Amino acid sequence: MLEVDISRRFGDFPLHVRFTAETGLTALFGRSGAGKTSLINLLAGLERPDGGRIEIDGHVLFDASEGVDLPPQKRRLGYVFQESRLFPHMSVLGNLSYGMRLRPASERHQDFHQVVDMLDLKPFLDRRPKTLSGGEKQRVAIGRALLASPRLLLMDEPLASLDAPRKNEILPFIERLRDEANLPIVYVSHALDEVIRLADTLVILSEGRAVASGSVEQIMSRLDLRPLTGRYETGAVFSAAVVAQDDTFGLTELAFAGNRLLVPRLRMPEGTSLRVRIRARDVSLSLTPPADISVLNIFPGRIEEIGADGGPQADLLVDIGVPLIARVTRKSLHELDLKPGKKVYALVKAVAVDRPSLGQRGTEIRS
Amino acid sequence: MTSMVARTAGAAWRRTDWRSWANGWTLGTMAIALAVMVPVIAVITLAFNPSDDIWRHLASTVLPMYIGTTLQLMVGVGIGTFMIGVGSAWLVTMCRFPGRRVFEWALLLPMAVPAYVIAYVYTDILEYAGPLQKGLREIFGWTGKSQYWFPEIRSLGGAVSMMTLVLYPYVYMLSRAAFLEQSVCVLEASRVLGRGPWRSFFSVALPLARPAIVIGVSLVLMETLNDFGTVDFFAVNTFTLGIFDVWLNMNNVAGAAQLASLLLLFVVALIFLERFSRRKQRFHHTTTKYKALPGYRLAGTIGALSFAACFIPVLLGFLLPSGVLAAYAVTYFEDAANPAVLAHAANSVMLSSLAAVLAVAVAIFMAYGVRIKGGKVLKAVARLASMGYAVPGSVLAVGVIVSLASLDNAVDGFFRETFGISTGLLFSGTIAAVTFGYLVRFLALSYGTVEASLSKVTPNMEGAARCLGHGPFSTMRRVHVPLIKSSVLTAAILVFVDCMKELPMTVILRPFNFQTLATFVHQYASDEQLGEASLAALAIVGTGILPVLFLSMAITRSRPGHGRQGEVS
Repeated sequence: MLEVDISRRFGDFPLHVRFTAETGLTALFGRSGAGKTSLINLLAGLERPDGGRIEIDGHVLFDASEGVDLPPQKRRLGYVFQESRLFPHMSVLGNLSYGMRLRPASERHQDFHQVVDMLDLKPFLDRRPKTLSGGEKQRVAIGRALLASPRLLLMDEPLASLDAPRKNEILPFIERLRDEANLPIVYVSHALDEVIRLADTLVILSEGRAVASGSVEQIMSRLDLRPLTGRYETGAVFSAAVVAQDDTFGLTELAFAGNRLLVPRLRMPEGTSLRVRIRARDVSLSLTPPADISVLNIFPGRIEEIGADGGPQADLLVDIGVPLIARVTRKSLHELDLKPGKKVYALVKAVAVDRPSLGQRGTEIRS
Repeated sequence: MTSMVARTAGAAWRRTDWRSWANGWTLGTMAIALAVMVPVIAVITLAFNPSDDIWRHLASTVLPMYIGTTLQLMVGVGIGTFMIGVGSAWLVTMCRFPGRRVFEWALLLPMAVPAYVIAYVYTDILEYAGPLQKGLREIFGWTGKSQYWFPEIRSLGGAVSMMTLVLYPYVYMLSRAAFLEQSVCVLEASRVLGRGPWRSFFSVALPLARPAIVIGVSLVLMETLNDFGTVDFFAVNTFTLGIFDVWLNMNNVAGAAQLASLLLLFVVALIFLERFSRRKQRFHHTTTKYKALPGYRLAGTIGALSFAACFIPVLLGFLLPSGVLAAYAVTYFEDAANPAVLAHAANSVMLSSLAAVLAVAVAIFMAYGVRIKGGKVLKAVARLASMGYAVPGSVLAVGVIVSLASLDNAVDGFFRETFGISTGLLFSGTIAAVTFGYLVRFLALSYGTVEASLSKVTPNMEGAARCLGHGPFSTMRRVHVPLIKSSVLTAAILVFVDCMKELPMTVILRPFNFQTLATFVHQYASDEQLGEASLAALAIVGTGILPVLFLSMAITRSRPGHGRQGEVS
């Protein structure tokens, strides 16, 4: 477990962050300028905090009061940078083994061949970094960090400099890394879809502070955090499992909290566990169960909370067994007289649940 | 319809105006390039058409010694400049210790001192009758040379030390630029992968800077081959000295030419090494992301050692020699500041200015010709023409003498036949000969500088001027020249300073009884009259500081994000 409580002043920007990261993937989410990269550099030891303490699995990496400040090379934290930062004068193999060779065999917890297989690096072991694509470089960088057998892996927006196709090409590798490498990961990002897809725990950074932390489901169903997660992206996240395939119409049926959700076909075996995000703007509300309507997913529920700030629209937290956020106009709010405690039907178009809104959990992916 | 008209008009404009002009530029550039290459061609031609069989004679007598000594000198200077240059560059770039900011530029200072000047000064200090040995004898009560051992400065080792002390700044400068450029990001990557600063230096920083270091060392070695003053004074039998010896003492021009063309093989190898590394350098670019440098803090003993490591080269390469010269200049002021020295200085300034103006004008013409005409051939020709910097002055001197002699003979023959009068030696042994030699050797300096700045003027600007009705020449005068003015000035100063310091060609090509500061210092100091020559030597060193200032300014500006604004990331 990683325990962080540090502060540092950058010019007139104070950073004071406190959070813990358990096993699995912890995402540090925030807008640019929130202090994400600075924080990760402080963790890695590339910059020095003014005060506080960093501890991982009982090893103190930094403690201002005890005068402990391990240099980066002693911290055993793997770091995957935004740009791959491969060594241009070495082959891929040279890069991969760079950190590994220093580690005594007894301390190595990553097997070279397994990592190479997992990241599919075999085809370019002999090549030079300059001949690789952006996505391939980033996979090598992940492998390089992993093979140094770190106690924890820091990833600083590893997909930020890649275009959308490259991103989708590498996301499954990170999912595998999370599920197979058995290593806590701290993942910095400002892209909510990545975070929802990958993270177990979410820490929201804003203006140099960790303003909220918890499971992705918890954080995403909090209406008060909408300004930080981005209005457009607002939407509840919950877990579901594949229960059936409808071959006739090309649909997949997911089960969650006693409900069924139909989505466009997912090529996944039954039983696969998924994380689903349903954007607030894709949810409509009705007071009576609608008939003769194209919408396939209709969930009875109860209004829990209403977030309205005087603008033309309002977000409502609806309990349908799991929290769901619906976004309606203030006009509808008024005309339907929607209030907390009122019973409603939430309508979700099946086609609104697209691939980026789905993250796979815990099983091998074949996409 | 309109587009048709425009296209026809464009084609006509191109045909009538552009083409004919371009041909003028092409021919001019070719002619200049050819003229500049003549001396080297002359040397090679002469070497392969010997009047008698000197090859075998040379090979059986002096050649092995020349080759051996030259190689030893190169290896020694190469290792020395590598250690001092790379070491100090790393300390100054990556570490924080007392005096670092001063050393950043001070480490360049020894570049201002020609090797022969430093050699005279150290000989004066370290020889048997010098103050150091005298002092030691007094302290320990020794009476003769046999009672103690003291390193002989006039030796191969002495020459290696002298050249190392004044040439390491080339390696320093280039490796520092490489360290600054290679972005600290990959070093961070190395550190989080578990390697400390030392290991990161050897496994990442050094290999990445290798092309730049190789360029620096090959420039150093070119200068080493060029040196005449030091090896002559120390009687170290290198190729350069051999050429002079065979030529002047044995009176054998063809033999000198043969030695010179053998020496050219060394040069070709160095040029190849340099070009190859330059090409490689491009692939070693790491990332475009720059951050403030880590600044390993060095305090206590390590800080003191780092300070010493940077201070000693500056002390021995600049402070001590110029201090000694200054002291001499004060003591022997009346001898040193005589009107003759002023006349020599005037000669130096006149020659160097002439060469600087000429080199810059030719460089602008060539760079512009290559730019508007482009083409692989023209580019290759221009590059060949700017290879003179690699050719040792001794070789060029032979080439210039030989080619001007045949020109004189041809002109003389022509006039004799046509008009029945003898013109004698028109060019040989004149200021024109010296200036031509300077031009050949230093054209690369001006051409490189002008070309680099010209390439920053975008073709769009040129297009705009051309569309507004200006021809190529007018465009050059009204658009390019104002834009590249400061680089042109830099180029002129670089050439000027190098001409002021130049010794081997000046000694040979100068008119009879004509002295420059360099030849004067050489002559007097060789006669152990350093006092009389001190002011002149000091003047040379003083001029040499000018480009050092330019370089140190350029080097700090070269890195984006370097300096104060880079501290917050």
